[in-house]
Amino acid sequence: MNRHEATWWVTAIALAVALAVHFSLIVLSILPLNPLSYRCDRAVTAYVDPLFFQRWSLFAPDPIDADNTVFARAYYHDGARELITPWVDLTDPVLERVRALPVTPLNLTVTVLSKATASIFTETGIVGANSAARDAMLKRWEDPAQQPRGLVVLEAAGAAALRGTYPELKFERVQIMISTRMVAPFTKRFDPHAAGEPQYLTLDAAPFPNVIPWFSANPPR
Amino acid sequence: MEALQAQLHRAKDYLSVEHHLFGCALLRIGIGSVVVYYLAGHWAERSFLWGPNGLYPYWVFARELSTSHAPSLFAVQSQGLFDTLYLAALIIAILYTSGWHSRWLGIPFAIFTWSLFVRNPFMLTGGDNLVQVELPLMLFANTSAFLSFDSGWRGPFHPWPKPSRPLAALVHNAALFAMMLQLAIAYGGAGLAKAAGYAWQHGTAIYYVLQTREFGMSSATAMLFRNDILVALLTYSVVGFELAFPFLIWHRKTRWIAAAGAVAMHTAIALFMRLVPFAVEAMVFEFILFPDESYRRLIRIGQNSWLFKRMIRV
Repeated sequence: MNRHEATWWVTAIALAVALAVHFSLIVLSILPLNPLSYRCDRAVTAYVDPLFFQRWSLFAPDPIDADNTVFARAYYHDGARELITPWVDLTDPVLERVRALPVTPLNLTVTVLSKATASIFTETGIVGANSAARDAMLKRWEDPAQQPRGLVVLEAAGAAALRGTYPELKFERVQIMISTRMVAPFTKRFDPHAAGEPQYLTLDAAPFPNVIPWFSANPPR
Repeated sequence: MEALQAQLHRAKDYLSVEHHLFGCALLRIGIGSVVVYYLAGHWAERSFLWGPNGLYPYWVFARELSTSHAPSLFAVQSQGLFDTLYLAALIIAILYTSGWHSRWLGIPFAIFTWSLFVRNPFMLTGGDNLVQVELPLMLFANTSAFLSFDSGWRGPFHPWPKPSRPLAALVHNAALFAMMLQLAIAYGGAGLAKAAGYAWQHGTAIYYVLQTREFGMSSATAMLFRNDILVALLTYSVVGFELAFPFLIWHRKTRWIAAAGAVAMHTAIALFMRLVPFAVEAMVFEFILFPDESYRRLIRIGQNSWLFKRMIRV
């Protein structure tokens, strides 16, 4: 065996070992918690996160089964009087435009609004909280620095839409409301009333963020 | 002993030649085009989507960095610097897609693409995640042997003028295997996650997804998906296909089934759920499953087809 051949074989063995270790750690990172992944958790996280972080639970284990709609309104002063704009729908106008042209740049905005809304429910536990815990949470979120990232994003989107809708007004605070309406269960899919009434989550108003206007004017509701 | 030696010799001979080069070139063009679409297609709203005072402002990114561990070149406070980096990313993406020094440009391309995907984590789709984890592996593959500046825009039938480099070929083949294995893990992981879900087990998941406004279709087409037999068949097909995919891609007789299934599934996702970039990102990885000879055969079949001859005549 000459030197070139030896180098080739050493490289081949090194690559085989590297790939075996790499994919073992990847597989451990995506499997549900088990005794092996529990034991190797630190090593797996240190290797996988962030470069090879991956989640393949697309529409799984449970598919999305509710429609969330995000609304925003703003507070401003006219002399000594504090006034409030009507609620501006952030979701439907964007969805309508995406429906008309699937490759519109607004497609990314739909994804962001949807995931930011879902993150408020999944990352904060506000839906399952009792009223005292919920009130404490909402009070804490009046300070933007304490807000969950999903709410920061919705307030930024709301502020951008409000600025686009009312360019002449100078806003001081922004408020977000989320409506959630469940899709009719499969067994009641032909019943037009099965979807039920939407549930509303109204968050406390927070200081109006410094965000560039983007959405074009939406007709106020 | 001699049989083992002969087998090792055969393995060395096989791995000392770069395989699936045409597919890797198509993958480079596919991924590069998606990133160019993201950057150029969102030029007007770049600041809103990724900028310092946009949807995911700089201060939130900085606050979340301690838990996300995912830094981004686009996480800057200066609007001017952000615009400069964005333009640089676009130029690099165009050059990489066209195969100009792609071996080395692949590194800044991967860094900028990573930076774009993590700058606003609420934007990351499953397709982006696939690109994100495949790009580091792609750096070790030869993606510019065909259809590139580097190769003089060589087509699939032109001979490769460069001498064989066994060590470089070994690294390329290892990267190719790694990319295919990563693809198998993505599909297998998606299938396993679905198999654990109530609605997927009971054959109704497709109904729920397509009834939402975000992923739903027009009301007329949605009525079609209210058909219980169709909904159950489609739901189980998706889970069955994703679970089978990791086993189908390794044999030449079954990889066509895997690729055809993936193209059918992702085309349906693009058309009915409007997730076009996601579908394209997932589909372009099917290119690497096939050897160069398969593409040559496909092109020959295409050239001999009635439609092609008719087009030439026109």
